[in-house]
Amino acid sequence: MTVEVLRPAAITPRAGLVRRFRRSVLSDPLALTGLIVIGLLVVLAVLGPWIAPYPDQGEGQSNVPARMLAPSLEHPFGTDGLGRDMLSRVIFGARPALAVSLLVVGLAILIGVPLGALAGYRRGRLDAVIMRITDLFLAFPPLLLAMAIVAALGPGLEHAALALAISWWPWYARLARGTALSLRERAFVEAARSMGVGDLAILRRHVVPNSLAPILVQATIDIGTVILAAGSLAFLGLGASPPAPDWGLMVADGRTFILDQWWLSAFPGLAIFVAVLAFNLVGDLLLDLLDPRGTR
Amino acid sequence: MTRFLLHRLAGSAIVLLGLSVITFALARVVPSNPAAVYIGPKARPEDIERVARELGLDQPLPIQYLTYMRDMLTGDWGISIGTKRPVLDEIIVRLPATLELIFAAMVLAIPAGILLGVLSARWQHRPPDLAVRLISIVGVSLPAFWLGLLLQVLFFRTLHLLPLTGRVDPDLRFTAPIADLTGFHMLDTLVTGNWVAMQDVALHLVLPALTLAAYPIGLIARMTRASMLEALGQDYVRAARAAGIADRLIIYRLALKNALIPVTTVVGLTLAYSLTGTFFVEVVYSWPGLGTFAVKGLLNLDYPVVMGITLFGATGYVVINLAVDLAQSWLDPRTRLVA
Amino acid sequence: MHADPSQPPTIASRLIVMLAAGALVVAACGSSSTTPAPTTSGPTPAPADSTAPTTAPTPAGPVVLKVAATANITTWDPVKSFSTEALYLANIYEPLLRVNPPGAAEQFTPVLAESWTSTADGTGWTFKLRAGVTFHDGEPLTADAVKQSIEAGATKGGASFIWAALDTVTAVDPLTVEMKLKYAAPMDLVASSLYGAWIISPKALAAAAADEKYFESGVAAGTGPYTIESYTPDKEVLLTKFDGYWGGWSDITHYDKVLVSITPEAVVQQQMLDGGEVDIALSLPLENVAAYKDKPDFTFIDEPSFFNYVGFFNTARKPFDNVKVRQALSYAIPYADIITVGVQGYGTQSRGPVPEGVFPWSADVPQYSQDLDKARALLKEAGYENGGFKMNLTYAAENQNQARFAPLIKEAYAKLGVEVTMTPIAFNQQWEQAKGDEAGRQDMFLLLYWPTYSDAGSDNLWSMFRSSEKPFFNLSYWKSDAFDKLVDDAIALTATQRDLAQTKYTEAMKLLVDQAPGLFFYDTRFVTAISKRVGGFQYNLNYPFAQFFYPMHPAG
Repeated sequence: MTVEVLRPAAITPRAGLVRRFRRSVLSDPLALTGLIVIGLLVVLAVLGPWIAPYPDQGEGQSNVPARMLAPSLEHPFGTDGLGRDMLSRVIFGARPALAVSLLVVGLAILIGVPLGALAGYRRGRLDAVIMRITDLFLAFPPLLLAMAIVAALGPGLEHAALALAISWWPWYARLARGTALSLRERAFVEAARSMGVGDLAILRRHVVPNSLAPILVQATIDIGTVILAAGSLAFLGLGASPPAPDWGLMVADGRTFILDQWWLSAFPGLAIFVAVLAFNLVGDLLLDLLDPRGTR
Repeated sequence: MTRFLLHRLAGSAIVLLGLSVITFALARVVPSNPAAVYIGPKARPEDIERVARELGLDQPLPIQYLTYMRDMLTGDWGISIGTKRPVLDEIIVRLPATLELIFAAMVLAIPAGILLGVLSARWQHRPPDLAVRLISIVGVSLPAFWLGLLLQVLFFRTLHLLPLTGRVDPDLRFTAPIADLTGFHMLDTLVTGNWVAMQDVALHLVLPALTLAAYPIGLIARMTRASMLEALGQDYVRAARAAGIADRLIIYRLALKNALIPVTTVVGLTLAYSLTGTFFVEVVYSWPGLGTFAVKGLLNLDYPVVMGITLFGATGYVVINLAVDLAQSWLDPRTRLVA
Repeated sequence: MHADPSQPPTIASRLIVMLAAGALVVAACGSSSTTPAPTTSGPTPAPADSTAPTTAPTPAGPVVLKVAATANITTWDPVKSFSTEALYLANIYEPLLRVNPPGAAEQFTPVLAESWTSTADGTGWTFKLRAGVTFHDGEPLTADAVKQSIEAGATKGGASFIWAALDTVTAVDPLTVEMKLKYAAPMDLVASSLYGAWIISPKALAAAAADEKYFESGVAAGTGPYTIESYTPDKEVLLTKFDGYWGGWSDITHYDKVLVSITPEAVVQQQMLDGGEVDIALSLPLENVAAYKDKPDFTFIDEPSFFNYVGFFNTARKPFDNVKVRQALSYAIPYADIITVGVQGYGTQSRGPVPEGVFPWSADVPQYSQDLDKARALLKEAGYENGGFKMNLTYAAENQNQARFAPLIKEAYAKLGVEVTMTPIAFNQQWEQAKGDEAGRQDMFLLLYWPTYSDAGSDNLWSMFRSSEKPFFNLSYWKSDAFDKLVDDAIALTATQRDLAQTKYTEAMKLLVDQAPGLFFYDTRFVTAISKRVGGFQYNLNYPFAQFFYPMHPAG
């Protein structure tokens, strides 16, 4: 859904990215906020069961007598239809949200980067074929292909993750191809080739490692985008299934109650928004550093 | 120009062909037995075999694909399992509602996004820039379905200002019926001077359009800012500044005009986003368009609908991208060389 | 009515659409009222609700009843119909007889038949038709039209199985129809079915035989009070009165037109009702509906319905083949909580698979109540002291109620050491899996069920629990010769000795509850509110999905 915004035409690796990021993040309140929120999310994802006020309810344990309670001191986010503390449910949702994003981005990199690097390094007909295939996948409106794949495979978190990875890898293929193209002509690659090192070895030892910086930057940014995409699929009923503490699913479950028990949808939706926002704020700075055309 | 046009058209045609293969594969290869899906769960094995024969599913896959292509090209997109009506008819009937919504969202998003972008560039690194940056990042981070629900609570439940869902008050058919000329209610009411209905239609349009516009506003503001900054850094702008031409003139006459060229790309992108963005907005607002139809089809495994919508959406996307490329090459001849 | 096991009845389509239509429709569309709804005989206070400016019909224009409903149209073909379109078809088409709500003085209301008799052995039925009735297309109602409609229903119908007992139907004279049966069956009940028993103009039947899609453009060819004026899929249906209706239009004020806004969202229906955009909303959000009890402008309706929720254990698989395990799992269910969570409390715990108010429901059939100690003891006896087994539970993803209460089952079983995996899938997938390869089947199947016509013995009991070679709706795969015999006997007795049939059915249900091949969660209730602007609202449990617009009239 929100793929292109953070995707410059070509990201080129630059030395000292980490150093420059560390320096500039302190002077950029937005990115700093984003970074802090991401840190908090990771803490919630890892330590959620110890932080949540009602860990058993976060897990799914019902408490029917206390159902549909409005937000209060005891339940800051209210309780849901089964009487579960929404704050605990939302906290428990951090782990699957981050895990699915990491899985999707990881899969997309695993598929896309080798293909892209190969295409950029070999050029010629192989390049043309691989790039036509990526074009094809990119020719679907955002998320439509993923939706169709989930519909065909049947709803479920695994299927949603697979579908998202299938529609995400072409971006990484393009990115990897771009860097491979530029690396191809660089001296150390030329040298390796003239010394008779095989193509695969060059790809593995030189091309792929040197493409990593921009890919990791892109991956960081994509985590947020994938959280949004997975949440969107779940909202439509094409993602996680109950009783998983999935944010998108919680928004969908609360939807019929939105006018009177607004907290059922409002807080899990807020969690998605805050998570995506945090990654986008950090991503914004990272892209500035990588591709300063727009700002400097 | 003609060569460029032909080149791009040929490229689009190839992409479309590939799309049809993927769509076909999704519907025919993934579900284990399309005939069983088609005939429904109550079928006995002999009925499934009969349907498989009727649908040509006993043929080899390449032959099936050719038949499928022939049918698609001749307008036979199959019958929806859910509504028992031709898929293409269903799409065409619902298209105006969706296009009207997307159009309204664009009318909101393009001026707002450009304005924000210009403001941001004008005061680069100062508070307005920070605010616009935040707004644009918020815009692209908001889950449309959640924003829609919040707006419903605010404008319907709390403020009693706007209707909750739907495209038009059903009561209007007795008090001020809308003539069905184009299917675009705003246009139809305008042409027939049906002001009562027009007001109602406009009120129903506000929230869905606002929800759908959030992402495009963010994207357009961002792109405008970037290309404004680039334009302001160009030699001719610097020269104009040096010559003492007023800042306002420089910004709005010189820089903005040039900066808008890349913005056309982003407008195309947001249009394309809206093709699926509208799914979520329509579901939240029960908007009787393509999105609700598509989602229903996806959830009910209505394969003819899934295939039809996927191919229709992808074709729309390819056409928009093609149009954007052409518009850009017309505006800025330099880009032709890139192709 | 009941078919041969190798010829499964096609109860499928309505369930699919039903489930797809969502759970709220359940509470909304199926129900009955023993008490006639508030017809306003005395002076009615004018609606005090000033927020409803546009709904008062102008004196000159047509008097329009406005309804919000979830009901979609899967087909306009009255022969094929087996789904939510019954809301409309019940006002366009008529059967020979109509079953009255429980508690009425007479069991039936004659509609197109004026009188009927059956032979002592229940295998011969004669119906005398009403004279002077015309179809919407101008054709007269004749015995031949009835014969053709029933034959079409029996061969091509969505619910053709209801006619399984029928051998021949003949037109004895222009207004007399005679049915000969293969075995005794209650043809009065069958002929009053909401599905497969509409009487249709022979001209339209011929046209539909030639063109399968003949009805789909919105053709009405019945004898009912209304015809279709316009239809926009997923949006609205406008019915308009049929001037030639045999019941006439003069005795009370009727509505000239009925506009049904197809509104899948319950909250939107509530908004429309509150804003005065509609007079009746058939599916209000259950969590908000209680507020209408205290609103002076609305009549609150809370009635039993035709629908219930059942769960099937896979009794062909270990450990669910062990009756003690099934009983233990039946004792573990928090029935009250499930009703609270599933339908906001608007339900009553079931007594077996027959919903309350429908033949052969019986108060003598016992219920389980939650007792975890007993459940643990039974598991121990069965050799599963701390559970230790897993079960895969499937439910229809379209059904919100199931999605809401299924987690409570998982949780309850977890307390016994039984690990439940919940799999929400589209109903047709869920069902296909249940009928498919044995290894791939579920351990527990949640199902929303209702009888096709007012005989839950030959439907619910027979369809869900009688054994058969291939599973259809008997998704517990349970085989009990004793149960089969009781049900078969009862079915054969229903036409001639209803009381004896009831006794046999009650015995069968007791056996069923004891053996627990399934879980019997709750019967849903029909709960909604209608504006006091409407008089004459009558609810009939026996016609789920349907509402009859003809008796309704503007009040005051």
